[in-house]
Amino acid sequence: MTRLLTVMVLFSQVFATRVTADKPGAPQCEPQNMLLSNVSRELLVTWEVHASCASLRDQLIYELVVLVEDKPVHQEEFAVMADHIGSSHSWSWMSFLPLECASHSVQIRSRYTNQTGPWTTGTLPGLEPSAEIQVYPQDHVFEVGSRATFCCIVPLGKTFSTMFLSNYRDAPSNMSMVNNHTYALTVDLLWPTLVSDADVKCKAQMDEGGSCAIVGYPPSDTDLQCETRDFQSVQCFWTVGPQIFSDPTTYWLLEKSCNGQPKGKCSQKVKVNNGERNWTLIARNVLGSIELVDEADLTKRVYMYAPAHMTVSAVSARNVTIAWTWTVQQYNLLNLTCQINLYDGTTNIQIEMCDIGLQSVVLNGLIPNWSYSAKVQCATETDFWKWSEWSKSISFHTKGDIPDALDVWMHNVNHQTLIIWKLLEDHQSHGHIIDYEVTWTDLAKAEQENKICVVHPTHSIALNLSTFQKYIVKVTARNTYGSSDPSQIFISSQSQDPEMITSRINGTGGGFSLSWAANVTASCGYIVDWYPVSGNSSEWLKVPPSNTSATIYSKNFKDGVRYILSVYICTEEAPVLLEKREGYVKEQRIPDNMFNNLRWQQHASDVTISWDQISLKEQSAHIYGYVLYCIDESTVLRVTTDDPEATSLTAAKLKMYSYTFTVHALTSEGECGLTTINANLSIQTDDLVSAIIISLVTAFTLVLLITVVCYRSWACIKQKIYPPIPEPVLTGKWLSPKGVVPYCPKEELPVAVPKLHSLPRMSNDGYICQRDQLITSTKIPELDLPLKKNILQTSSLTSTRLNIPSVWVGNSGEYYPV
Amino acid sequence: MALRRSRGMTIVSSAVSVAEQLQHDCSILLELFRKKESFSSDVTVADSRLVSVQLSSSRLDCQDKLWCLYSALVQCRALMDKAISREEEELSSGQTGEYEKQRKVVKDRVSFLIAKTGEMIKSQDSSALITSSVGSEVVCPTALFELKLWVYRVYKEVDYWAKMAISTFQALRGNLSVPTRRSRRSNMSSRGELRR
Repeated sequence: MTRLLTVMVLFSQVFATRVTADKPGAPQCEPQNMLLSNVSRELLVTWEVHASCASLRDQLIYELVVLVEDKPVHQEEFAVMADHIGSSHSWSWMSFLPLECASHSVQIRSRYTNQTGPWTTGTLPGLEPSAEIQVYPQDHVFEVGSRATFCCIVPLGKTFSTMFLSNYRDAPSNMSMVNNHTYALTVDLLWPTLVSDADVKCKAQMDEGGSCAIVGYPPSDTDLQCETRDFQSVQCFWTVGPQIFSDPTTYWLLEKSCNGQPKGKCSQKVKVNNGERNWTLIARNVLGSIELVDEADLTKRVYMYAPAHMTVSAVSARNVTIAWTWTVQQYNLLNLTCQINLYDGTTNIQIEMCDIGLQSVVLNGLIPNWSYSAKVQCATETDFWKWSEWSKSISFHTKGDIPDALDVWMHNVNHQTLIIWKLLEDHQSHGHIIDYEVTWTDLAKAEQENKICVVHPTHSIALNLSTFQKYIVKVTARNTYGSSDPSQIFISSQSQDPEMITSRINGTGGGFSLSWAANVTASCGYIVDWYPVSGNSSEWLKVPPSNTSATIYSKNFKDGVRYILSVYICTEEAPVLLEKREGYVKEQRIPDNMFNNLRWQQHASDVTISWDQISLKEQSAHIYGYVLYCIDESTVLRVTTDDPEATSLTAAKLKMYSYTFTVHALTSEGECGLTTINANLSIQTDDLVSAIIISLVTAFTLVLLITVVCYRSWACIKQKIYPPIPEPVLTGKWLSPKGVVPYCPKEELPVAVPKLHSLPRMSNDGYICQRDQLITSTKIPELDLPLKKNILQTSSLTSTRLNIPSVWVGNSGEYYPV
Repeated sequence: MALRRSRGMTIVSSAVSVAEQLQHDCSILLELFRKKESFSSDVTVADSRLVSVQLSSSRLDCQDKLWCLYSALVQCRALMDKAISREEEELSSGQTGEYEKQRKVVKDRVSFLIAKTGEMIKSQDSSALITSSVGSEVVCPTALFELKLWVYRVYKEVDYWAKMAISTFQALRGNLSVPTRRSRRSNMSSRGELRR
């Protein structure tokens, strides 16, 4: 017996089951040949029962207990209905621990009615330690949110160090010891591994081992939608859900694999008939599978192929026919709507057409001599699903034609009438323009037509027309296909009104906005023309009769340039001037040194600064007046005028200093056009001479008056001033002439004495003595001094005024101060 | 002779330069791999070599050493090809990042170094017949973690042989001689043993 037992032990295999029976005499339905195995990480238990058990009438219950490392971890009852009691049974269970990591034992006993049989035990042993660290499970895919247990089997003689799951260090986890060489790590896998797997690493001293874990989701694809393109296949699209790293989801449409097809799209060959049906897609990965269903009639979901073999035919100047074919025959039976996209080089034009099996369109209203490209897309008109892709583009060029009629206007320049027209743009010329023919006819001599040819690109001609006559001028453009319709304009003197008052207009936004009163005679609208005052180029705009306003923009507009804008009434005959305006698109500051020939003129203490008239060309803003500054070392004098036509300004009462005179123009941009001139003021020589002469004449006149007065009143004056001195009555010795010496002072200044009635006698002493009055040698200060004083006073007064010395006129006894 | 010697020196210098560049690129690749897999710098891998060529034997002359080196590099390239292929199948996210680009650089550099080594062999023996195929298919682990460790070993192997190439070429610089006529040699076996 002992030997038998020994042999049995020796021949036991690693994965052999060990079956032990606890009690002899068990019922016939107790498990037999119990076998435990590891199938896809599940613990599979299979056993057999005696054939007699098949006759049992009631259900047979098996009680199972699972032990891991001899510790019960799970208990379960497994019922088998009487009609299912067979010769063998199986039961599987997913262990929380990889089966390699520990020994898993299963105890089973049967129970029928109330009778229980003996326990039968089977064991699946775990792996034994090897020379290298072993980690399990290897390369397993887990679902996000699940709890995973990994185990590490450490080689004998090595000490376990650590175990972790990379990328999940922050997740809740738990370490435990399974047995003395096996350790388990339990981790809650809260997030997926998206771009790489997670490594389970186990370290034992210097050794390291590991396995890879992948965490993902079961398929969660959505929004399945199917259609057909050719009624012979179905094409389905869906929204792809998150994929498991390194384990992509597989798809099956109508139970056929979609392997090799792009993500989110699958096509299968199947005939599409009328009527709704289910279109089923299965998405499957290692964690599970889902089924998406689209219920639809795909004959109402036709996604057409693009029109093929595009052709162009019947090309004329303004029409063309575009045609195509269908690669799917069934399209010819469908009611189709097609969009034709026509591109003319700058814009896209969309045209829609409908018809059953539509395969061609005629395009009208094209521009002659023009390049186009066209493409087409179509869809079903009834049960519209979606537009097909665009066809390939096809290009074509329309044939040429005569040019469009010209836009003609006129402009008066230097007594000539300038006929001008706008150059035709490419879409108007319809071919290369060769020349223009201008004809003009005096309406009074209608039979006499004048003609001239103007070579392109010249687009104007000056005509010498009489201002008293009326003319009709016609202009046609000619290209290789012929001449355009003539454009005509009437010319007459009423087109101009020299008396028309020009009002002011301000520019806005780089142009001019103007409006005018409607006029009932404007049968063909209005014409607004404009030109710069500094040039001859004229532009115009024709406005329909219903409009009485216009906003003028021109690429030729320049800031600081004055423009004349005129509004004409367009009539059956000559245009009539309605109003005239002038203004600037935008005023600019007038540059310095605007004033030409700035000069100054002094009149006494006044200075007049003058300049030449400023031409309109030089005015880059409206001038409202002028200001003059007179600046010397300490003061500034300002003189202004608000006359824009002024050409001078005068500063008065200036001192004889050096001044700097600056002149500015007054504009809305402020004072500008600064021009400077310097001047040194001085007393004028002519004035000085005049003043002297006037003074002398005045003095002379005054003296003359005085002299006359004195002469007339000499006696009185003499009496008053120089009354006669009574002669003393002398007796005795006082009568001797020798004892009397007349007093006549020698050094007396010549004095002005009235003219004597008799000549004085010259005495031997040289004294002048009057016969009537004896002037004695005795000094009579009372008489002389006052006289002299008077004279001196007179003289001094004179000299004070005139600063002129007294001059003897003669020696006849008549002495006149001069 | 002087011209040949000069030309030989140029080839050696060029080969040294390529080998140095390969060694540099390899160290970058190893770092990127460690970072990608969160391996520590002292991650333990098997000590045994993947390429079984013995270069250190003193019985080998210059030409033999070149042949051995050539054989080893050819095996390195085969290992790189396999490693890249398996990584792409099992461990790829579909993105091409810095690691994937560096991996390609190293693989191309190995090819270039193989060509340079072949030039050197030719410069010594113009009749040498050089092929670059490996006899047997490379075997690698199936389990993902083991595969990662194996890929790491491959990169370490390439790094090792880049260093061996540098030292071999530098030693050759002093030993350049007039090339002698030798009998034709076929390509080395995958085990790297010399056939005489």
